[in-house]
Amino acid sequence: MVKVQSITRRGLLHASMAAGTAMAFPPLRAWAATGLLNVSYDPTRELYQDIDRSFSRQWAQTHGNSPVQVRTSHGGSGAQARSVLEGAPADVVTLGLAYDIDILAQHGLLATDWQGRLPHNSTPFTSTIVFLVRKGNPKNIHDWPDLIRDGVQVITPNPKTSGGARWNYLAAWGWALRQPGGTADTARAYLKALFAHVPVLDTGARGATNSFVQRGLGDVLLAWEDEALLATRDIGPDQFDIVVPPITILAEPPVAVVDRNVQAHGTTAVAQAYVTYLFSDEGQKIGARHYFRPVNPTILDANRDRFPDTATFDIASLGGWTTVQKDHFADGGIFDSIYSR
Amino acid sequence: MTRFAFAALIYLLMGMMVVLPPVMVLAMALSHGAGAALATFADPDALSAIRLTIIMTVLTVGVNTVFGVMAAWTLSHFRFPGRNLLIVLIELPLSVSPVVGGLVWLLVFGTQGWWGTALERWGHPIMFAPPGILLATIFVTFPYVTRTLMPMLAHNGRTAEEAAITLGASLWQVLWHVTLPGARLALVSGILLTTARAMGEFGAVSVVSGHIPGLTETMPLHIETLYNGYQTVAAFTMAALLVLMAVIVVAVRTFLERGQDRTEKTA
Amino acid sequence: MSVQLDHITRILPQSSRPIVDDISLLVPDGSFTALVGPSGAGKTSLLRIIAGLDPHQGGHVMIDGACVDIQDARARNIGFVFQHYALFAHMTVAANIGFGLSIRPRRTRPGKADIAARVADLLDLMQLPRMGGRYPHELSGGQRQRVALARALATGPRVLLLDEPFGALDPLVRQQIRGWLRDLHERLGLTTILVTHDRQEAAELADTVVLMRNGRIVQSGPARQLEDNPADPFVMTFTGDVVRIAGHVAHGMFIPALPDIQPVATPTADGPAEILIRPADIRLLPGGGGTHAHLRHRRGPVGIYETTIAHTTFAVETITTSDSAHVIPDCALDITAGRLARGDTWLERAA
Repeated sequence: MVKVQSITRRGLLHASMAAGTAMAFPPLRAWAATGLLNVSYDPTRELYQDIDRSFSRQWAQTHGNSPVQVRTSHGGSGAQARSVLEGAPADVVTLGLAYDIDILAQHGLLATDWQGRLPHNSTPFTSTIVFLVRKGNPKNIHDWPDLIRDGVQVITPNPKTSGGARWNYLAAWGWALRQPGGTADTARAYLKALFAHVPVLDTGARGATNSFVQRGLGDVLLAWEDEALLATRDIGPDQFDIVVPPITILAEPPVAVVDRNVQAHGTTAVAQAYVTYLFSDEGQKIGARHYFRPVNPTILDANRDRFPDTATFDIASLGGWTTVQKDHFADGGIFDSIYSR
Repeated sequence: MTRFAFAALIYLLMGMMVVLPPVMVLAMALSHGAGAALATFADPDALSAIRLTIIMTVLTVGVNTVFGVMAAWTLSHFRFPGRNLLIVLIELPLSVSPVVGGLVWLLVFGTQGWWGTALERWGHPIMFAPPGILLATIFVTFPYVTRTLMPMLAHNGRTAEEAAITLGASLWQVLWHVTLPGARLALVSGILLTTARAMGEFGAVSVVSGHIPGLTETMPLHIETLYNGYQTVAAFTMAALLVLMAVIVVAVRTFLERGQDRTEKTA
Repeated sequence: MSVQLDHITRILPQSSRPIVDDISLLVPDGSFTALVGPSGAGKTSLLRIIAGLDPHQGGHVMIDGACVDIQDARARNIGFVFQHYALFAHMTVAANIGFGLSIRPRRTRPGKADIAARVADLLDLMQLPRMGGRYPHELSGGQRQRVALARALATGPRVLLLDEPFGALDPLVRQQIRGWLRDLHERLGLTTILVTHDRQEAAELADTVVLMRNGRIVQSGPARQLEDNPADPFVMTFTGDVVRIAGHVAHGMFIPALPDIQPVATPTADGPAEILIRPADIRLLPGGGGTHAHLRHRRGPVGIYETTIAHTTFAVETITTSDSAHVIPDCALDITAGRLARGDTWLERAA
């Protein structure tokens, strides 16, 4: 009859503690032995989904007793590099630009000569920067000068956080420099005019694509060629057209094995196999299927119809990533000066 | 008449701001049929995200309930130097952006942070792993139990506790049989607020998670990943599930409050 | 069990004046003692020190001869009833009463049936039959206070402490509970200390009244003794109705400031002074002065005459008969039965 009422959550609490300690940690340990983490940039979701599956299958055929599960995380290239720097356990990084991997190398996560360890400057696929416009190209956009016409809104992400955005920016810069009488000053003026036409600055390439494709913002999206082709052919067929400008940049997103992490995880062999696989015929074909330009000339030729011809210049012609980063994107650099006012 | 006009206005606003979005989420989830929506849960990454969210929520609620009760009890029973500062500090996570909450932990536990090298040698990662997510979630939900409990404890006063002491109750018995049951409405309220917030936390978790599908993605992060991956139906199905979980929490809270109304009046 | 206080002092942290100032007191086993005094006198503080709820800086508390200074409140086994009942709102009446038994360590905890039987007994004793399943908020104030009392008694305390237990009750209920508490004390014989600011309550209930002021005991003893032999003007004022008549002493006589009041002889040195006197002790001297007294009303044999001297109205109680006059003309007031005071102390009176 006499009963002291007490809190009934006692059971719940105890159960939660037990469940927590039991469940929160094992997956982590288990993963260290059988998994491989590829930290990648934004527009490669579909590509690496395919590659990961295909690679795991191939690995299982040759290493039947130790299957591997590859996981890939995505985000802005700079943000992803930062995560790895702070301790994200990446075995492999496949980022939007070499500079982000250089930073990791500077902090000792991998050798500074990493770019020479794989063929083609460690770049399995290239891409270019193109214009994605609304179906029928209602604003009649064909070349870089068209972007700064009155009434044209341009969607591009923030070069401070997005690798893709830096390529966009540098494509515009490189074009401006190559105009008759082009100098750093005329290029700066052009970019200042260009960013005056940008209504929102997303943090990543995929965010910008979503702004343009799903939210219907802007008249033209500056995008990776692969991202633009994906949008036109797979996501919004008959809604968009691709405009390839007469001259654009050759984007070279590189890959690397993160030495320090693979040593800690004991995944050196599988990580090495993974990056090598990207350069294999099969890997190259998967890349082409996802609108990344294969570096293998034979496979590129076989997919000529997917990749329109255009003149390109590369990052080296602009002085290389270290210079470009310092001049343009560091605090107080050219981007800050054209965007802040 | 103005009464009805105001009521209608409130209904309209609530409908647009509160009811409509979840309904639209549900509509989007079912836009390709229930089968397509259910297929979301065939993805092991989705299941992993659900599991991780539940584990993190349960652990967070456990830790923050214990700490919250301790803090509320101490702060409402004792006067000591720095007490007001402590009250401000406890509220800090409410006013600080969750992103900052995540970055703080990176600063402490990231490999570039203070204890980074020591942790690396230890071999058990904290950041970009579930422990980091737990820390971030605990940080952003820390104030709720304390803040809901403190006014109730202050209101109840100490005499019931003193009565229990004179009857021979130990400190623990007083807390368990008198203090907490006397404030259980506030306690449950705080716990459920913590639960709701912990399930939905995005900002702080996003910073420390590393977004590794199947390992460190909670439901909100997984929804973002799905959405960015153009998997609209899956994204909205997960979102609908998250909404459903929140609705359940609110419903439980309402139910408990109604059930306890009877005995809550002060004697 | 007896309670003995030996030079107890308590000073609040941010205060210069002690709230309990060097108090020594013996409460004999089985007695009923009341601590009375104006608010702020330190009564409740003293009670809380005995219970162990508040610390004290000096002196010792002894229960049954043993010092309990280092014992926690929970170990002292003292029943404490709070002014606002302090019932556990979320527990039934039965759970409230049984609380002290049900939280005992397993070794000494009575069985469930035993606890239930004890609760039922107490409910009977408190005249609260069939209330066990109710919640506190469903009871009246008087019922709640009886539940609080039953809860305090359930553990078989050595001493019962009551802190203004009737303060929140309406006068009628207060009167009932008072009588009932006295009966209960006589039946149980439990050493009881009551804190109250109501002298009548104290006089009615307690064997010994301890009058406190500013953290000190001014006088203690049976209520009658305090009333009849007050130690100082404060005690006299607190223990009954008092008329104060100002004046001064000159040449061995106290001369009232008002006319028509007879001087009183005193050996005291000259200076200002006053006389304190119970209304019942004032006498009318017909023909002795120039004021008229009117019979205002009669309560049994006692009649109240009122007379106004220089805008001050005095009520004088006398034994009257049915043929007593309604107006007594040309009379004076005789205050010889009063006590002469200067400041806070009595002055010597002529023998």
